[in-house]
Amino acid sequence: MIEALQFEYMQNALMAALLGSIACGVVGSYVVVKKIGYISGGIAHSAFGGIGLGYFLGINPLYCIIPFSLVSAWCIGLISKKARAGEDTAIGILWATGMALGVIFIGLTPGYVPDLFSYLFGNILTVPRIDVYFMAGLDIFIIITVLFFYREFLAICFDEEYAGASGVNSFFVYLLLLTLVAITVVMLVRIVGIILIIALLTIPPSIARQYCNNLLPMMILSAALGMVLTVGGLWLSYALDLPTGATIILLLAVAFMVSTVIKKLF
Amino acid sequence: MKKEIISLKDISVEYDGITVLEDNNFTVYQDDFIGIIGPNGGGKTTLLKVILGLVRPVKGEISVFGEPPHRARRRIGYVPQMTDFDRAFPISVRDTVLMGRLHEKRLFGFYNKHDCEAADRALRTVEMFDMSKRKTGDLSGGERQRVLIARALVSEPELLLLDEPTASIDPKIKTSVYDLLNSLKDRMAIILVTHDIGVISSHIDKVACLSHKLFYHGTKEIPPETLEAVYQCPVDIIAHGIPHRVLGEH
Repeated sequence: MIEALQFEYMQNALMAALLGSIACGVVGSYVVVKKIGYISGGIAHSAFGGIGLGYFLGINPLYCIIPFSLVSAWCIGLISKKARAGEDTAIGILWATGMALGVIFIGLTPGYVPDLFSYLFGNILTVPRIDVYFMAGLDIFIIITVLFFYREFLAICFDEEYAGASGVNSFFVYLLLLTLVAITVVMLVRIVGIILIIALLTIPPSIARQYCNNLLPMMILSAALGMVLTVGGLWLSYALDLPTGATIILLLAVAFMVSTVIKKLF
Repeated sequence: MKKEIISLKDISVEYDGITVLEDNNFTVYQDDFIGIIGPNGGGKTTLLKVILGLVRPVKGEISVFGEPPHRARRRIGYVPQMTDFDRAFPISVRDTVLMGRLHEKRLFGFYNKHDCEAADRALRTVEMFDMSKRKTGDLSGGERQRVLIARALVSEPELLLLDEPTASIDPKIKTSVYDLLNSLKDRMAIILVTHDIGVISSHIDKVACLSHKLFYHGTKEIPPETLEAVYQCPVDIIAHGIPHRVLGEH
């Protein structure tokens, strides 16, 4: 793989893996401790509507995912807090509606739709340099937001009602957290695709949680784990000539199982 | 003249059209130590939430420390009922207690030295300082309850509200929680909610009884007729001498 690094696409892939892992470590930790994996899955899948819209309008689908996943994050946030009954049903409906919209848009797009598979299952080897800069910018946005709202995020994850009693605007902070999830989804679409995102978002933090007593070390450890495992998956897929997104996810799953077994035994 | 800190006048609360609290009046003074008993679903937790400003009554007037409840929050320490506590949550004892300082505005999302010193003081008060680096989820039920009380104390409140603080912990530890509250009662007013009549111990000065309607006369005794009306069945309480006396002498 070292010799492959002379190619620009490989350099971009490596940088995308490292930058994506930072967002995963930070935002994924919140997803795991707040138990919003299903909500995050809904945000990721409904982003498919944005991809379809991008094809239909003839612009880079990645730029269409941003407004789409933000709106679906806020809708899901509203539904999960305000609709008293059937939160999971409502999320499931939005999840499917977003995907159906995507399929309709693609159906309306004349001619052949290129790269569709790579948006569903990821292809880190096709990330252009401009997207790498874009990912770096999103990482900076995520880190700055977390620096300003670390206490509030922790408080609403631990006990939303207590946070409210302490004067925190829980609903606003919750929507801000879902906004970060939506941004992370946009970043990760290129790496593992919208269908596999949820694994990349939750597996490194789940492993890290087994070894950490506090949230901040958990974020740092899961970002580091994410870097090692995504780069490892990238190398494996290169060496064995396998699809990268799926190889990364399988490596993550194996790491999770090994860590869980080790933790049980010792 | 004792200072009045909470005043509820004709307070009614509804959830989805179902009345939870109905025309309740309640006055609390600055050195009160009140136990509120009543059946499950009788509105005890809701009453605390009204005082905290988390639940808005459909009718009535409320003032806490002479202000609307949401403005008085920082003067209140709250120990919520922790039934769905996630033991895997990665948070240390000290960081749990620090959450009690959330209302102190900070530029960045982190606590400062003053917050940490206040947390250490609160942990010493509840005798949990030695465990401050442990994970909160690894503690026993009684230890965790002490940590939650420390979290409420860290803002140096003038009023402490506790929701079922002794539910799901074993009787021996219950006593230690009451001893702790007893040591605090000179520093602040305390309102304690429980559905368990048996825990109203000798420490509590006044008893209120709540089942949608609040029965409170600022005394420790409750007439048996009231108890029966509240629980809607004959309540068989044997008053074994001093520690558990709820009923008057009979």
